[in-house]
Amino acid sequence: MEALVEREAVQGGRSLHLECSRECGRRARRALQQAQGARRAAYFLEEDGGFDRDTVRSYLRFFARLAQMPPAEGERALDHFGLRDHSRTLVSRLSAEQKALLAFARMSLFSPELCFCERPLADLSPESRSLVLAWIAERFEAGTVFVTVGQPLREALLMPGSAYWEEEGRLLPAQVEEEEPDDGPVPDEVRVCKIAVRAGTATLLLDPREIDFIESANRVNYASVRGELYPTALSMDQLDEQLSRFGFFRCHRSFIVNVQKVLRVERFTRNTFNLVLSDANRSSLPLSKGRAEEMRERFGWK
Amino acid sequence: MSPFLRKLGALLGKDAADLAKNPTMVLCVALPVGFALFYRFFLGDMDLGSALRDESATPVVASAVTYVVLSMGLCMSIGMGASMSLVYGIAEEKEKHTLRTLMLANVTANQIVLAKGILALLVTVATEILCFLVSGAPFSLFLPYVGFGILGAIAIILLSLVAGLASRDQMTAGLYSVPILLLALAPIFGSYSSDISNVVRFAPTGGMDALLHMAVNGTLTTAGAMVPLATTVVWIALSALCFSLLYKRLLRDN
Repeated sequence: MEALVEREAVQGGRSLHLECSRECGRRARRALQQAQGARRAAYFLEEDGGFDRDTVRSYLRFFARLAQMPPAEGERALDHFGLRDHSRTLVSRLSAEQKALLAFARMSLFSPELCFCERPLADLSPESRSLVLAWIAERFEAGTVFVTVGQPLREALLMPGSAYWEEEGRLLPAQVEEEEPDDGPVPDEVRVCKIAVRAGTATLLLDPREIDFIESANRVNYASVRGELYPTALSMDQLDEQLSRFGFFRCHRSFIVNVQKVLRVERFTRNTFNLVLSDANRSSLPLSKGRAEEMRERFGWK
Repeated sequence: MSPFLRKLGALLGKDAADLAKNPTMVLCVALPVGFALFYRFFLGDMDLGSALRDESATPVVASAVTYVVLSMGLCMSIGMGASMSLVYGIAEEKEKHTLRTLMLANVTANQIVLAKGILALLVTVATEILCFLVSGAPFSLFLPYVGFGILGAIAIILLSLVAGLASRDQMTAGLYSVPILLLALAPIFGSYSSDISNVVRFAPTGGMDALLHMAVNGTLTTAGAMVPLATTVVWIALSALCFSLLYKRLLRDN
């Protein structure tokens, strides 16, 4: 793990997003800290706290001074991360989401070359997630190397760079290479179809229309229904084959999305697309670049 | 201005604002001033104090009262202003991971510690001055009083930095700050008996107190100041050694 961080992020200058345990995340941080050298680095850790007596504005002004930036940069960060309305609020009174945005605002002041984040999207609403992903994409294009750790893999895949997942202490790359599409578009054909999933000791038979998306994580496939994940024994290829007739689309090697549930498509860099769903969690799913083209053609989107 | 000084200035400003907004810390600073005021009028209500207001009162009585009030002001300023505010302040920052956030924001351990040490010294000196102003002591004693106060505060500040960095949280800070507070206040207990006095004159603030005593009595001479000065210098050297050996390791644990 340490070798991966040093080889890919520090020496290779490639962004890494690791779906891993907290212990693995701590090791990744220490590895990055030791190898960062004289590079400008910024860290966002889950346990970040304190500064309780500061307001949002005084907090950002303080870090702007540390970053040797004019106070106006603190004001710009306030606006960029949507914190203007809370500029006079004490840091201790911010919600978890606002604290996360404040941490990103702080990091933005340093124009970092290396950026480490623990569960960067965990506490964010879809709107805030878009703000943060847009900032990450902007910095990525400017050359910042990101190392993020946390769960689930879906979040790791939303960010530009390479995603890995942890299995028995080893980090395995989450494959994103394109597969050749099967045959042409499948004609709309209504057939009886139920997807069997496990819920404790029971087996549920889900109507495809109830399913928001299918996710493959740690070699197990899950159907997401109303914000809950249910494991299924079917393979991704089997699910893809069965569900494609019901308006589902394989948007990524590890995801099949119910296109009816897609609210919007976001594009942050040339190669990074995300699908925001209208499900209970307003989930975001990665959309591979090649599949974005296929999706557009298949559903006739301009 | 160099980046080092700019960051140091930012840290000083932040620590000062934090101190001013923290009611516990404000109380730590206000308490010595309150005590100095109380002692002045408390003694003034006693026969001894009545004698003070009498023009025929002996200079010995006047200087004894002045010494008691000033000594207590110095010891409490150092004990409360330097040790308590530092130990609790650093412990709170460790508990809430503020120190780690700063160190991950390209701020060095030296800058953080230097800023805290400088602020503690400034706060201590400010408290000492306020104690002096309310004590009613003659202004001829002002400069030696402040000078001795700075000398006596250095060792306590260094020891408080170590104790603060060693504290995991504010609960542990409560435990670690007690011996430092007692060391700082030791000269006050010396007035209870000559045996105690013979011991506490070797405390970190004991040299400072002895110098103040001589200055108030008008018996301060170079020869007489040698032992108290040596005691203070030895404590500063020992505290600096302890600090330099431990502080990097303690910061690494953060």
